[in-house]
This record gives sequence, C-alpha cells and structure tokens, in this order.
Amino acid sequence: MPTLEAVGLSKRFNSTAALDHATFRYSGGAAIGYLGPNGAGKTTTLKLFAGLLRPTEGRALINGFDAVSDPKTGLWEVGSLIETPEPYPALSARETLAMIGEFHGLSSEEIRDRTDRYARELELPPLDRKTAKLSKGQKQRIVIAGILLPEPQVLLLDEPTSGLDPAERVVIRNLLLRLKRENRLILMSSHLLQEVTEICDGVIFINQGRILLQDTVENIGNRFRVRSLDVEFARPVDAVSLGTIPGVSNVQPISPTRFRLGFDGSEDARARILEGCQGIGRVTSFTSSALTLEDAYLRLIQGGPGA
Amino acid sequence: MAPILGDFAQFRIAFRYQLRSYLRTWRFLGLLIFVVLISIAILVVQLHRGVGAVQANNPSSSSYLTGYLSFMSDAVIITGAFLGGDALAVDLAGGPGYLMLTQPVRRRTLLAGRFAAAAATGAVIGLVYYGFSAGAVQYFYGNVPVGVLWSIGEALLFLLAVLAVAFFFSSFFRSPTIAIVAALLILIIAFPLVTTIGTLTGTEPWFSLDYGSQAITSVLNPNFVHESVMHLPVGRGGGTLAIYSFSPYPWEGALIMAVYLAVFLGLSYVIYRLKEVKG
Repeated sequence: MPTLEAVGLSKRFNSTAALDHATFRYSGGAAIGYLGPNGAGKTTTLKLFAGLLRPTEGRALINGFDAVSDPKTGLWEVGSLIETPEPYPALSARETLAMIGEFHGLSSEEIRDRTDRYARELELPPLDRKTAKLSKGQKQRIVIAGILLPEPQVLLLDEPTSGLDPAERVVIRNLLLRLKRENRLILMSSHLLQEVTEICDGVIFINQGRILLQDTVENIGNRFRVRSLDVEFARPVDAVSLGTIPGVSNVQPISPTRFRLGFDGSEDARARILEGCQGIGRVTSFTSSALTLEDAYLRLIQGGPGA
Repeated sequence: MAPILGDFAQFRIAFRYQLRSYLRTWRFLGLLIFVVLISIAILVVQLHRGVGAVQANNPSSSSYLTGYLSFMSDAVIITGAFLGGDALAVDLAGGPGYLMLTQPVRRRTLLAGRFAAAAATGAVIGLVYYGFSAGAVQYFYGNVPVGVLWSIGEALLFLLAVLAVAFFFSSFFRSPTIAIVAALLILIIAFPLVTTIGTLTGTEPWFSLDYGSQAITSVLNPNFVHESVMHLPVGRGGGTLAIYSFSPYPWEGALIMAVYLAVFLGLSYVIYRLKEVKG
C-alpha cells in the first residue's frame, strides 16, 4: 500500500522557514490537495519528498524510504512533476519516454505499449519530433506521460495543469481520477480549487510554511459551511422585512429584487424561510448556495471569519 | 513495478541517451568542423610549401608530428570545457534537473554516464585530429611513428582530466554558461601561467595540468630532455638570465593527469550529490 509521510519536516533557507515542522501521513489510494498561496511551502514540500532538497529537520518518507539518502529505492515507485521539468532538447519525445522507462527497468515492449497508450490518452504530439520543437503544453504532456509510464504508486504533482489549455486540463483531470481509482496515492498542489474539489479526497492547507488544516474535503466542507440562500422576487421588496423571517440570520441585498439570506443550513429553517419569503412577495427563484473549498481557503489563508 | 535496476544498467542508459544528445548538438558539430578546418588549413599550407620544405624543417616523422600535435592540448581543452562545462549545471539550474533528478537513479550514476558520454564525444573529435595528422605524416614521410599510439593515450587521459575539471565547475555553478567560461579561463589561462612561472623560477611545474599535457608530444620526441636551462645575457655587466625548460616524462605527465582526473571528478561528485535544486 503506497504511503507518504512527513515527520516534523522543516526546511529553512537562511533565516526564512519555507516549511515549519510539517507532519502528515497518507496511505492507500487517495488524492490529496495541497493548497496555499504562492510561497506558502507547497513546492518545497514536494521537492523534499522528491529528494531535490534536503530537510533542515525531520523526514520525508515515501513508502518508508527517504529519497535524499536512498534516491533509488525512495523514488522507485514515485512519479514527480515539480516546477517545469525539461526533457533533453536533442532527444525526441519517444526517446525521452524510453529513457525514463528504461531507468525504471521497463522492457522495450512495455515501453512501446505504454507509450502508445499514453499517446492516445494524453493526445501527445508526434513522438518522433525533438522535444526542443514542442510547445510548453506539449512538453508538459510528454513529461506527464513519462511520469506515468512506470505506473508509479505515488505521484507528486506540482500544479499539474498549469500551462495547459482548458481541453488539456480536462484530459489530465480525467487521468488523475482514473489513477485514484487504480489505488495510486497522489499529492498535488494546485491553485485551482474547483479542480481539487473534483479530484481530491483530502486537503492540506498551508501558509507561510505551516500547515493550517488537514482533513477530508467533506469534513472541511461541513466545518466551514454556512449555508445561504439566494432569493429572487418578481418585484423589489424591503430587506428589513426579510430579516424578520424566522431562521434568517442575515440579509445581503444583491439587487432590489435579489437577496442572499444567511441561515443555519437545516432543512426545517430552509422550508420556513421559503414560506416567509412567499408571504412577502412573489418568489421567482430560490436556490441554496453552500460555501465551498474556496471559502475555507480564503478564511484560513486570509484570516477571515471562521478561521 | 519492475524490479529495481542495478547501477551499471542505469549507467549504460544514462551514457547512451547523453551520448545521443551530445552527438546531435550544434556544439559537437561546431567543434568537429573547427578541428577539421584547422587540420585542413595546416595541410594546405604544408602542401603549398612542398614535401621537401616540410622535411627540411622537420628531419623526422616524429618531430613533424610533434609540431602538428602542438595544437592538440588546446583542442582538447576547448572540447572538454564545452562538453563538460554544462553537464551538471543544467540539472542544478532546474529544467532538466526536475526531470532527471526525480528519477530513481543515484547522482553518481548520472554523473558517470554523462562523464563517459562527454569523454566518448570528445574522443571522436580528438581522433579526427589524430586521423588527419597520421594521414599527413604518412604522406610527407611514408611512415607513421609508433609513438603516436602513446600520444593518443596521453591525449585521451588529458581529455578525461580536462573533463573532470570542467565537471567540477559544472557542479559548482548553477549557470551552465558561467561553468563553461570558468573552466575555459582556468584551463587556457591559469594553468599555462603556472607552467610559465615554473620556467622562470626553475621550479618544475609538476602540479600544473598544462605541464602534464605536454606528455602528449614528449612521447614522440626521441631526443627527449626532461630539464634544460638556457642562460641569456642581460645588460652590459655580464649578467645572465636563466630560462628553464621542463618536459614531463611520459609516465610523469600521465600521473599528473590521472591525479587531476581523480581529484576533480571526486570533488564533482561530492558537490553534485550535496547540491539542492532550488530553482
């Protein structure tokens, strides 16, 4: 079963703590979103796991092995996409994939079959073209194919869809969902919260090198959920009267006919509010909006209410 | 997952793809063209002078070859610096490092594969120059001295030592360009300067790589003299200036180059292994 474990993991650059005693452990098939603003310590964490940086303190273990002291065993079942990897410009895309496959001990048949499979799935550019002549997005897809070629159990992905166009993002998202179903353990940093919501089971929030919160996406949703209702009337109504409806905690006018009403999230309160609204005016639209990962992110990172 | 591959198997993979990469670069082609053009230029001048004039200038095939190969050490330095200068720095600057250093391969294996590939590529360029020189000496003298084989051996050892120095700078600097320039400056200016100081002070510069490289030609010289001194008159008072001349014994040159190879390659490995990819 693949495992990823940070034990009091710290990294300092001179006097700056890029990562400060991070501790977490994940095992089995799962996708973990690693969220935080630029400079929060996300890439540093991934680099520590991949052995590109040496920890100042603590340990980064993949399947129980440390990639710094034993890169061969530590990275054998790992695929890493960190920063912007560049293939050798003089090699073709096919040769780049073959080189990675060979380093992982794959046979030429395995390399050929898997290359063909990923060429279809990731819509890779012509494989005999030199990588120097490929676009940034094409290179990234070649690198992703290279990472997946050995079928690693653990994937370290640093903003895997950055630099890709919307269609390419969909391809990668579907691929990650498939990999998760195949029992791979994925740790991915991203700024795209919608993407994380769709792909990930767990989330780690980090800021200024410190882990602020780690939990499942569902628990974080429940914890930060303050339900609100968006109500639209056929004609303008008085906001004060809406505030008198039992169960409404606050009223936020959006337009003279549209309002966002805060409530406790229960079904009873929601039904009472609908009745109350119908008593005030003709309701043309009544929708509930649940605060999502984005709200949790903003509250945690920017210190908003509920943080 | 496949069973973990041995270091030697991974070395061969690193070597093969790095060699392919080197042989397809403009750098390799440029160095090859440079060496071929120099060789052709020498031949054209000598053919223009005629066989008689060439033989009058160089009484034996060995002395002719000694002159022809005097450019060899410079060719090796330029080749080695350009091939080795960025071999490791490319990883430490990011880019390829994010792909290569995240593979399950020990850095010593990557370094060894790249070093071997650079050596093989440099050897191709060096052997082309030797090929031209052998052709020329055969044409002008009708024979190729056996010493040329020893010379090739010394030149290959010098190439390895130069590559080791270039790899050292490559592991030290994050910028491939700075690493190449630093290697060139040290090899082309600093080491020859040290050797020159030796000729003025009477100290055999056994610690200079440039001095060791003189074994490339000294193996060809049947009248080899290890040390000589020439007294030049200075001023009117009868004073003289002693100018010393040293040539390394072939074994001595080989030893100097081997020590440079071992020390600088060792240092390269230690630094490359410890370096972080901060990017």
